[in-house]
Amino acid sequence: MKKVKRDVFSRLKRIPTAHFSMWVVGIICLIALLSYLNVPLTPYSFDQTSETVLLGPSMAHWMGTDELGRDVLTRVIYGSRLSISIGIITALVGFLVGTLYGAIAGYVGGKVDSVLMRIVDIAYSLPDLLVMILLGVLIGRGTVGILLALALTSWRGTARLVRAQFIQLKNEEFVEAARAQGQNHLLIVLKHMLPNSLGPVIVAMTFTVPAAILSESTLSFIGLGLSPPACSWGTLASDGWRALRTHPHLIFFPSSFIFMTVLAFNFLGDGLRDAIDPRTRI
Amino acid sequence: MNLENTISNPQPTSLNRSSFIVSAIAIIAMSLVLLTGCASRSRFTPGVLRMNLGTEPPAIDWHITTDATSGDVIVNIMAGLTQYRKNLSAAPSCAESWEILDDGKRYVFHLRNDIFWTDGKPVTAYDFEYAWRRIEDPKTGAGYADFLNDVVNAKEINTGKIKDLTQLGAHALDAQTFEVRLKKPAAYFIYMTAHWATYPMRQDVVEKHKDRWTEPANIVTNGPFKLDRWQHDYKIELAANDKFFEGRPALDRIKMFMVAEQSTAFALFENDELDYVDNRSFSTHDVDRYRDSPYYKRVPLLQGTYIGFNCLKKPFDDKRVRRAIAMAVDKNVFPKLLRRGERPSNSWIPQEIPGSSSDAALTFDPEAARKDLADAGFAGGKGFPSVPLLYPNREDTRLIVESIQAQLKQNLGITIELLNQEWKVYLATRRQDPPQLFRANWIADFPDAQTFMNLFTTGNGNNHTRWSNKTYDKLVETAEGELDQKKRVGLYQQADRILCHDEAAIVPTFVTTQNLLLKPWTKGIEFNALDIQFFKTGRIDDSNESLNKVEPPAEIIKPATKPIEPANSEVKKP
Repeated sequence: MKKVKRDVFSRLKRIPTAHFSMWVVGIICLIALLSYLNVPLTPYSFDQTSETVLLGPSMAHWMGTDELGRDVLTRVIYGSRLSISIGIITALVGFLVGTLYGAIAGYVGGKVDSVLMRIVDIAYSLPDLLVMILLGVLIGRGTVGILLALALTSWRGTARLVRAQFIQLKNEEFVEAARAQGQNHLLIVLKHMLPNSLGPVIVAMTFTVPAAILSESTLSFIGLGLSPPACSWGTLASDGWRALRTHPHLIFFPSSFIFMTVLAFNFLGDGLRDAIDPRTRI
Repeated sequence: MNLENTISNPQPTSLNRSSFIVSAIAIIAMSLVLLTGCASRSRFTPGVLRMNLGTEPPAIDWHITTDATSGDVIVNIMAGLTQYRKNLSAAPSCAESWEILDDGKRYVFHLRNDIFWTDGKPVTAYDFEYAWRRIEDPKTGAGYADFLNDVVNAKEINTGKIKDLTQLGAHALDAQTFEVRLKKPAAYFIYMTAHWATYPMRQDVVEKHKDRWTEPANIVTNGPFKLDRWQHDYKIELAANDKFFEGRPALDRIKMFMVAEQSTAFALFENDELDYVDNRSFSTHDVDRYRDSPYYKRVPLLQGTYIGFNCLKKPFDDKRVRRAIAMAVDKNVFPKLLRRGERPSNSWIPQEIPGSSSDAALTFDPEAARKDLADAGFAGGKGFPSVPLLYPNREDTRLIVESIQAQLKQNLGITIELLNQEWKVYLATRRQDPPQLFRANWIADFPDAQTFMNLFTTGNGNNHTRWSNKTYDKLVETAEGELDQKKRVGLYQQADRILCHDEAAIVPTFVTTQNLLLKPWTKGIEFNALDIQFFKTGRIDDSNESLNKVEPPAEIIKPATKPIEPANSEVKKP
């Protein structure tokens, strides 16, 4: 298993875009983590106002200041905390719930499988944005509402994926062998089937992160996100776009961070898929 | 020969194909040119004014509603006893003349006999009598019921002490004569007859259609325009009233859109889909871009913005806490944030109106603020509850409340939550259960200190602070009956100090200015300091003469505030 991991890693390194993206993702996650631990990366605080409003980028303020004289760089760093953590938490929740759900459906099969999968079909037929807006209205603005709304829509794909993997693996010879040895179901699932189905699931997870970051930005952009002075990249972009023609730096920096992160995660996912799949040549 | 060649040779075929592509592109390009050509030719329609209301008016019934958006519609479809001149003095409208009798305690209005409702019936004094009774009827639930408190028995009827509506001191003596009796002389009373709360109303229409009487199919009005269409949350259309007694207005049609997002509305304006924009659609960012345009205009407004406390809710039942908040907010910051000609408030009464003073309100003093907060038991902001600050969903208000939030954190160490609501919901919340803090503004109903000061008297329907102070009430009441301007100003100054300094029931923040940007073809609309936009003089045409362009930059309009001396109970003839 260890060797497989090392193998995947070295294969991943051979894909230049993926290798580069790995660094980008790593740095952004590190920034978010440092911000979360309240490590001062800039001399300003994210809600510290000043007299110098709407300055363009300069030496004192690398990304300029906003309408209330707050340092945009500080706010982008502070915003990364929410945007990244929402992306990762959503992906993790989607991974756990989806895997459990898909594993049960795929392993048990039969009527249980059809019932569970019809539920997924129904969940898929609901428009994501509508569900999120409704939830936002019910729970109110804030991190919890956004997280719940995103988690609720993130598990369905994983569930389908894992189920398909399990149905395929169920009839493989090594699973049959384990069963013949009299191992119980839980052990078979955990030891034999899950590790063998993880590859595509991890790839799917890396794609969930940017999707969740984008969804959070969308929600914040239409005004269902955080309430001020807290901010995420989405709320920053939402506040900044009004000044697009006079002070473009207000929207340029947060949105380029969204763009960069989403792109990096997507490249990383692409690379992982190629690296995990033994059939591709790298 | 040539033909054969072209068929046998593969080269020309590909040429043909490419020439086909070229001609296709040419056709598309030409049609694009044609299309844009069409668009540029119809940048406006003569006689049709397109403006942005910013939001759906909560109601058109001029007894129910108190907000300015509804007012913008009402003043253009109705006409009252009097109307405002450009300098804000009261001029004849439905009433061609009036007499002031009994030392200013009795007004007799003589109505014109050539005014008609849109259904052809004449406007009579009985329509005024019915309207005035209805607004005081407690069953109506009118927000402006207090407006007529000076009228004999108005308060008693509104509070239910007198059940008989005919006891109200407003009577139609005959179809052309309307008499009003006041409890005490009131210098500002004539202004009230120009306000939409006192407009006439048709009893038969209201009683026939009940709640739906303001629907376009049912409503009957007497103003320059009539309500033609109302597509909720999209637009209201007004059409010229051919029978209007001052003559048919030049505009055929007014389209009032309801675009809440300032930047969206401004994009519509730049795209020639609106004919002018005001503060509702003109954000600071856009003002920055058009500051030097000859079509950019500023009109001072008698509109005060304030932060209100719910004085019944903890912790703001303690005036030390209120004073601490008031002293922790630096008002000089707001004009720098908004950059649209705002003036920081030193008193609740705006500086243009007699009665304002330069030191009525608490000034910025973080030291004293922290001391007051500590005295109230929240030293350094410790233990201070996280209170909500309610504000309406308008972009420029977000900046103000965010700035206040940051200042309070910086200066007092307290954290407040920002609570953003859509305009109608915001108004309802403020009326039914105002949260601990709310941002609000008040635009003068008429150019007199009374409109600002009466607002915070005990039991006023628009006093959302629930603050009640006997000394203040007494001072305001005395000032209202006082006809000596000097004494009156003194009384209002005292009351203002109690409101904003001693008791700090509100924190006056700044006085706004109307920022306007007009298209070259938009002319003649009267914008005044009360922010009432009268469209009856407006025009949309491409004649060279451009009224709005040659007008000098707007100055502070000094409103006519001379009290009407009761001694010369004159008969005014137009």
